[in-house]
Amino acid sequence: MTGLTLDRLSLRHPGAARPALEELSLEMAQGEMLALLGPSGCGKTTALRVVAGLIQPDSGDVRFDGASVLHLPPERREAVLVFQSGQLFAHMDVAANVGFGLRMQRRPRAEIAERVAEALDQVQLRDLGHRQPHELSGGQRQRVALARALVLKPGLLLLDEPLSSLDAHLRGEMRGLIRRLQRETGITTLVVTHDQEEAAVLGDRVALMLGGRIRQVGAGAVLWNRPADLDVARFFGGCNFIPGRSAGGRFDCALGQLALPPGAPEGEGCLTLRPEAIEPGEGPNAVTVQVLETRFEGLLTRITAEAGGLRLEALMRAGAARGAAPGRALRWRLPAEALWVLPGV
Amino acid sequence: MSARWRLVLGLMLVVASMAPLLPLGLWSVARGWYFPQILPATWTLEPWARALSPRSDIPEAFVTTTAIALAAAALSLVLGIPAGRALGLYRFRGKALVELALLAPVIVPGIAVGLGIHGVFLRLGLTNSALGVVLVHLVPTLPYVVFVMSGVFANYDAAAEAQARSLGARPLQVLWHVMLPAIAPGVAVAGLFAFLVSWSQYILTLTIGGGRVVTLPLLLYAQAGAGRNDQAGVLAVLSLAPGLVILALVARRITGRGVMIGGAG
Repeated sequence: MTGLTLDRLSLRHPGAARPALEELSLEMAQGEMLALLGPSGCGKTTALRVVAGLIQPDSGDVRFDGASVLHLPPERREAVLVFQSGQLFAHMDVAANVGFGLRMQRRPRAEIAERVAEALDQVQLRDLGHRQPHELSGGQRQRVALARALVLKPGLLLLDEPLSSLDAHLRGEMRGLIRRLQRETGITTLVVTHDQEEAAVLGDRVALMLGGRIRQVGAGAVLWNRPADLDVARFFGGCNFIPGRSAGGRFDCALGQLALPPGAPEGEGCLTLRPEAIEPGEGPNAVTVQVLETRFEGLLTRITAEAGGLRLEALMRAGAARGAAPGRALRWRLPAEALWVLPGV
Repeated sequence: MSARWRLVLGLMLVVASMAPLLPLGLWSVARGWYFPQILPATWTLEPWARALSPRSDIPEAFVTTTAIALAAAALSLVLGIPAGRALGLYRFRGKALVELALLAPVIVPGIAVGLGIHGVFLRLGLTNSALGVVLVHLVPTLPYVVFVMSGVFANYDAAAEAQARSLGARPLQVLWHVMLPAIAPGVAVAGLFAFLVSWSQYILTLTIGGGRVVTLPLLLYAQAGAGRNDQAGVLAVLSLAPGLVILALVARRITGRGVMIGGAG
């Protein structure tokens, strides 16, 4: 178990217009599982490779348990990176793949065999040691890749989009396996993903990365419901932004005075609430809206409405959305606990 | 197309490509074979006995040719694999120009290349030596190796190497345990090409070797030029031997089946 510190990492790929990493700082406690979340191209995989030692940053520092590891080549760092594609070696069978790292360390044969069997057991592939990689399903390959890293008992496990190459039904299973193994082994794990749901499920904490820097770190629910700024809110699907002024637990805006949850920032700002938080009906913070458009999105229906010259978007289940037809006036409740103020926007 | 037709056509192709070689083989076992005889009048193994006798220079030339071809193939692999890797894996400015320059020796006549290099080698003291001949053979062999290997590396996923590093492999271990096994079929093909190209060099061997380094093609031209068809026949058969052996060994590989490269995504 290794604690990880990223200290103002900066990196610009040659010829790139924008830096891949910009003053990126992040702190991970020993044994923690943190999800590094961000859209594709935000630099999260680059960050992972810097930690693994595969890329040198232009500036900044990477520390394992407080000691800088920048001078160490990847093979001498306590971190093991599992690539997105699994990267099984095609010319080795499953057992040889899993034992690769131990062979590189020139461990005795008997020890390798024992630890490989143990690792395959952990990922529930006990009997597949003699299979060739091309005989495996996508999920099995990913599990072999995981076993190949775990067998080394690394201080830090780095997972690059471990579920992105899997079918939807396999994802849930693999997610559970990763979580369980992380709890059992206690290995500090940094997992990179572009999927919000995956990040929330996998990470004890979620770090949102946008444009080469960490924008907010915290429990999944905090990032969803208490975004630090407009970009974070937008990333998580926020679409309702109401300019106004927050004072004394109330928010003054075109919709009137709305009650805020305790602890909301004061002053000029932008009120945000998630579309699925809006409820139909009367109550505190109720407003009258004019429905503009409804769009069926499967489980939920997206309703665009107008109130006080502002557009509001709500996501409602079929029952709640009934009666919402373009042109009709409705009463919507904006629950205080779902409101949040982005200061200074 | 039915299997039978395929077989017939295949056999015709084999016959058509082998037919011109047939007289060479016959010459080596003929005594007196003149127009308009279709087959030699008398059969004999005498040319072979003479060719392999201690007084003959053919056995020594065979060894020299083999050693030079092996050295040239090994050296062009050592140089060509990294070059092919760079061309296959990376994009860089002037890549097309580099590729053209690498092809140039194949386009430019050997005599021009040989005479040009001769001056340089003369100053370096490399003429009239086997080492000089090995080096000059790189001119025609290297392009083949580089192009075969750049094709191999174009399908090679270098992320496998990064993965190996992260799993604790040192750079040399990565080379040995990850890269070489993945590119091995390509290396074999490139090495065989290089061997055969070197094996059949004439002009470059003659200009740089200055007649001191005697290889089979040199003897073959000399005997053929002197009208000694029986010895020329023996030499021709010997010259063909490695090509045929190699072809038999790797026919399956060259047709593409069984060539597997890179990691299993």
